[in-house]
Amino acid sequence: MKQKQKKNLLFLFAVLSICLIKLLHIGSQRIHFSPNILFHSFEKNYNDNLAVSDIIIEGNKLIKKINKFNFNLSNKLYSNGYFKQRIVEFSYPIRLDANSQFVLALSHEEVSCSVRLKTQRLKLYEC
Amino acid sequence: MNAKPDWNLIFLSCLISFCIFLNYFFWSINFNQIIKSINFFTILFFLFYFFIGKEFKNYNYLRLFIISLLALSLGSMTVDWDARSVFGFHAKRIFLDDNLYAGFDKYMPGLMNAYPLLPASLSATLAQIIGHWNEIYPKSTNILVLLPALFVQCSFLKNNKSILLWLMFILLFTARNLVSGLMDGLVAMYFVTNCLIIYNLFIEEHLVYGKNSVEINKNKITLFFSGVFCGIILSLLKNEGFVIIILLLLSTFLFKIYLKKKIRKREIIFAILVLTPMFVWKLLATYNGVYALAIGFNSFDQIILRLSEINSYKLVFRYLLLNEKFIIALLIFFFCIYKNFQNNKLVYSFVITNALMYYITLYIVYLSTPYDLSWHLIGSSTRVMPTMVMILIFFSISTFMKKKE
Repeated sequence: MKQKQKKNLLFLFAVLSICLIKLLHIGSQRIHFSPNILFHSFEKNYNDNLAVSDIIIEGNKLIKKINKFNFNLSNKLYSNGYFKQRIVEFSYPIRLDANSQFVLALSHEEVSCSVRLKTQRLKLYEC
Repeated sequence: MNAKPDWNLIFLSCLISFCIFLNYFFWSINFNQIIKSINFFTILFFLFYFFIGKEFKNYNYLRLFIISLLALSLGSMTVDWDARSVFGFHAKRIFLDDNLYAGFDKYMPGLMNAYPLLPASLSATLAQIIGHWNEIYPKSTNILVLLPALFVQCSFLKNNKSILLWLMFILLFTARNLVSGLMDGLVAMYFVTNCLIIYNLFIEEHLVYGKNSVEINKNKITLFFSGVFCGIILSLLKNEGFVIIILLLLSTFLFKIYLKKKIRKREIIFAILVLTPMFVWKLLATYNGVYALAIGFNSFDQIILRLSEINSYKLVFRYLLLNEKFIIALLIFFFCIYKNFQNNKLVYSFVITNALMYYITLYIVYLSTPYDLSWHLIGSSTRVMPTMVMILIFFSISTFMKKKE
């Protein structure tokens, strides 16, 4: 009986240890868990910069400022898969539209339209 | 298999899965927001009841597991590509457009507008309750979607030891997919649950349903509807889930024929009930000109072409066969077959048939992909293999522990 209890305890200890180690591994290495995020998980715009890169947040701010329903991307930004995808998700309900007169471009790109707004890395043109 | 499952837990699973389906149904008919919110709080109430109910006092490990997953999900940002671009984006669209069919306007067709939206609709309901969107909490509703599957699995496992072992394997092999906003972990878990329910409902039929006729009837109906709602959820998680449920139903009918059992009305009703919501979704998507992207008319040509290239074999075997989780699961499964085959012939045959059918489907899908094979395998093989792994592991644990009893 004692032997069986000992065996059970050993089993319990081993499995629980593996579970704990795996939980810590997932939290710290795989999904970058943070207690701060947990405590602010329902807060609006909390730590958006951890979900998308800063340039997406910059672009989104420019798009929001003009208060329109759509925007377009310069050729360079359009061909950047990450930027295109993330700005589309992040800026929704403002939509990416090839016919929009507002074009978001990198600051060193040349677009033959007038600059409406700019940041260090991005410019928003009105065509 | 455990012939006497915990019927209270299965009943709770049935109620939660019904509410999850109801949430999707309310969105599909554009029902009042208040009703959707009440329905959401009902799910939360059932979860709360699981935590405080006397009937569930033996499930402390499971309680801890659910809390851990919720904490991990709520304590991390949504960063995975598909979790953001496909599932998260659709949930955001449903929430902001207040419409389940927002994707039918064909905006950004590359973001899989034809994908079914059951989990996304639950995220959208939570977003309506919260009142705004952010990059953290919407994916946490996946843990609520997980509950019915997890409850059914644990109710069929014999004791705390086997439950703990099963939870450990979930953590080891698929937990990251469950908390990151991806659907693949849920597909894996629902594959196991549906296989388990369908096997007990239609193939073996040796379950102890109760002591008297009232109890027996109640539990029979509970298991039947648990199967229906879990089947519906699996089919509406993503297209892969739909394929899996069709394979499961197909194998059930084939087994019935092989065992010379009569195919009864209730099996046909079960199949119709399970498949109807997905067929309605597919019908609506097709009617609105929204199609799945990966399926092309030249799929067959693509398979022939790839079958003639040695490099394709190398790639597919490397990612679908030499997957370390898959190899571990196979070893455990074969060990259990070696130890317990005599008493579990039928369950092993059923599991092997379904796992094999799914595995062959994976080969067909990858060999016919219109994308670059290497890119497609690298991007998705690690997400789809846990589906195979989990089914092998679960049935290994349940049959092995039964023998030890």
